[in-house]
Amino acid sequence: MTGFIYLGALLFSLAGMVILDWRLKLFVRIAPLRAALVLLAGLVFFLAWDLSGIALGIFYRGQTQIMSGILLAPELPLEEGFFLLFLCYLTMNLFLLFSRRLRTGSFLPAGQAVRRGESHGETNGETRGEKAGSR
Amino acid sequence: MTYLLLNLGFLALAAAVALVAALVRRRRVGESRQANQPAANQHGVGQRPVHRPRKVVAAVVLSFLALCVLTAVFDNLMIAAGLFKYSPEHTSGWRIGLAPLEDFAYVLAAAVLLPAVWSLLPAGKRSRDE
Repeated sequence: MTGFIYLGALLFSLAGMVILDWRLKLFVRIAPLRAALVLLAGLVFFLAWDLSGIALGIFYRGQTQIMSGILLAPELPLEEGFFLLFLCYLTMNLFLLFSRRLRTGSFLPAGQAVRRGESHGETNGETRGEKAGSR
Repeated sequence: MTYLLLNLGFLALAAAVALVAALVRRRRVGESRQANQPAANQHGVGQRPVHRPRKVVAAVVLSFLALCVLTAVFDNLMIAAGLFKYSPEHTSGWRIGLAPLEDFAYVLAAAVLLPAVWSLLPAGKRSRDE
């Protein structure tokens, strides 16, 4: 079981990104195909980077109990693929969140805005469905 | 220094994609401005998004800074956990804790490349506002 600690941590973090995306309507939720292509491009780009680094002998896999030992390529663990996917998802969530804040003055999607000081998140979740529809 | 040179190559690729995205965006906005009459453009109601390159750049910079903070924390944890190792002869030796400074190139490339790819892809029906 210890072999899946790192993979478990990555999947847990990835789930956090999906929840953020869904609640705040950021990335995959608003444009699944477009988002999937961005993630795919990022994954290919960073895997190529990793493989080049491995080929040049810059970095290599550590011997540790917390990885599954499954390899995508020599010195490239399965976990690295999930790490890169997480990194790309995180980057896009951050970028879209900051873009929205700069554009609209709020981190929340249109129709989900809460007046300052009135409510902090929780009540806002309940009314989200209907409000979002009235955009 | 090998790691630094490798990073420069991939960063250049990311920068090239961002440059193309910026040019395409400028052209698209130019076309939509021509399509809309200047008088109708005053209030910007129900129109295509206005060209705001500074806000895109600001969002990229903010994302990069947030990613740097996270990298400084989690790269250290991951190296401490022994997930991966670096050959000393290929790294510059500059480190933040255990994390080689070169590792921050990954998040720089992510913050530059991914928003650029996003803006190059056609917006879906529901995502015109991004």
